[in-house]
Amino acid sequence: MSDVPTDLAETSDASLVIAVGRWQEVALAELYRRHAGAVYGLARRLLRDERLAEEVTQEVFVRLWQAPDRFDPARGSLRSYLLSVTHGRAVDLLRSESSRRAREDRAAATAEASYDLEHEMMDLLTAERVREAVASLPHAEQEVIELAYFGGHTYREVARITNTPEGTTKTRIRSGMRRLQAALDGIEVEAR
Amino acid sequence: MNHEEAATLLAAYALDALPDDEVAALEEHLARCPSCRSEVDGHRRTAALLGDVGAPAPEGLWDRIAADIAGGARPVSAPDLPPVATRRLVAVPALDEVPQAAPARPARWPLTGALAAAAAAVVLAAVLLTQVLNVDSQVQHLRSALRSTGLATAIVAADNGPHRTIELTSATTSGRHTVVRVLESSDGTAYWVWSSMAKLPVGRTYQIWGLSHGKIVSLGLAGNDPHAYSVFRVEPGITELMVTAEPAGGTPVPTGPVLAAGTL
Repeated sequence: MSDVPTDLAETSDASLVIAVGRWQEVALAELYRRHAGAVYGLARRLLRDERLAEEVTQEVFVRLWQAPDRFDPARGSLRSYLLSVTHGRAVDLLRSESSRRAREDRAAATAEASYDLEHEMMDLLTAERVREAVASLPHAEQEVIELAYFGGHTYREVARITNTPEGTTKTRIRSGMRRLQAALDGIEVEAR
Repeated sequence: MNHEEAATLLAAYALDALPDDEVAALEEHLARCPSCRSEVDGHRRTAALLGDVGAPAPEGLWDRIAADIAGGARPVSAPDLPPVATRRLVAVPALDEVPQAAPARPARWPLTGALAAAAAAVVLAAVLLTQVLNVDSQVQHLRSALRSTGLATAIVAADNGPHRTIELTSATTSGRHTVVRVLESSDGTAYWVWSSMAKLPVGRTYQIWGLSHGKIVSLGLAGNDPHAYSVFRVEPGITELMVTAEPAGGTPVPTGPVLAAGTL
């Protein structure tokens, strides 16, 4: 069997998603091998709870199995899509009643947390560019994006935490994200 | 919500930072505003760069996912009744079904005249030149195979019991080469697991044909990307497999040259 050049590792994400659409479990398994670490890492970072992060990871891949057509390659890489789904699900959990207390306790710490992406990301060069792009943002924009994205806070909550009007907060989130996008133009998370 | 109001919320929405009570109105706007959708997609790609922090996935998690999808969470059991929306393969009627009873998109046709002669010639050439390898060897079970080798062949085989490899070959100036490998399990389920053929342009598809008692039967479409996996059924009585390139959606009879052929 070893002479059969059927190595899933050489198959593109998009092709594997099509195979998932045909109920090919092997294709899902290969996508898991490629992306589970990223999904789990983001979920754990947001939830700060390994058990919940595992649950989210499981949900994300089961959802990919059940509805692979929700991934549209024209809108971004599969990794982007999976991380977006992961983020949404993790934020749902963060906002659930049971974790409200914990979230409030976390607010102050989150506001001061710093990026330490470079030790964890696979692609060090990309990590460095992301870190530089984030560091180059005006501090107020950095803060609101971090509170919203990694803290899982709504913009209204971010406004309250930073003691800033809601309108200003919305503007800062958008201008910060646009600045990041311009600085990171041409990079996308692992697209195969 | 007008466009200007919506625009101020796009980045927050992409970061999942929009309060629940504002989501519906924005999504209503997004449904009819391509430029806002495009901005949200851009913000999400940027956010994914921030969020790609990575970590080793926990031991044993895949086993739970595999158990989950193999159980009640799977909407239909594959490969018998997959949903139309995510499946491109053509339904294959039983071989003893009378032609008049064929579905709207017929899957087999009697071969007549010149077409039959041409197909027979191709098939004969394929019969002489094709290897069939019996590979009912022991293979690892899906999960351990995945962890250790990542080889689709081993895994497909592991999940489907005894199987054989069918090699579909193509003639080139340097001789005949295998261009498609299909694994057929003992229950007739066949997997298109490997191909060296080129990707077809959008609007074209590879179509898989079987020869059964002098009739050519459409077994399914493999899409325009031969490197993606396909699954189809090989009913008893089918003795040859062939592949042609056809317009997307497939054709009732082969219209293009046989690109690969193999005997069972």
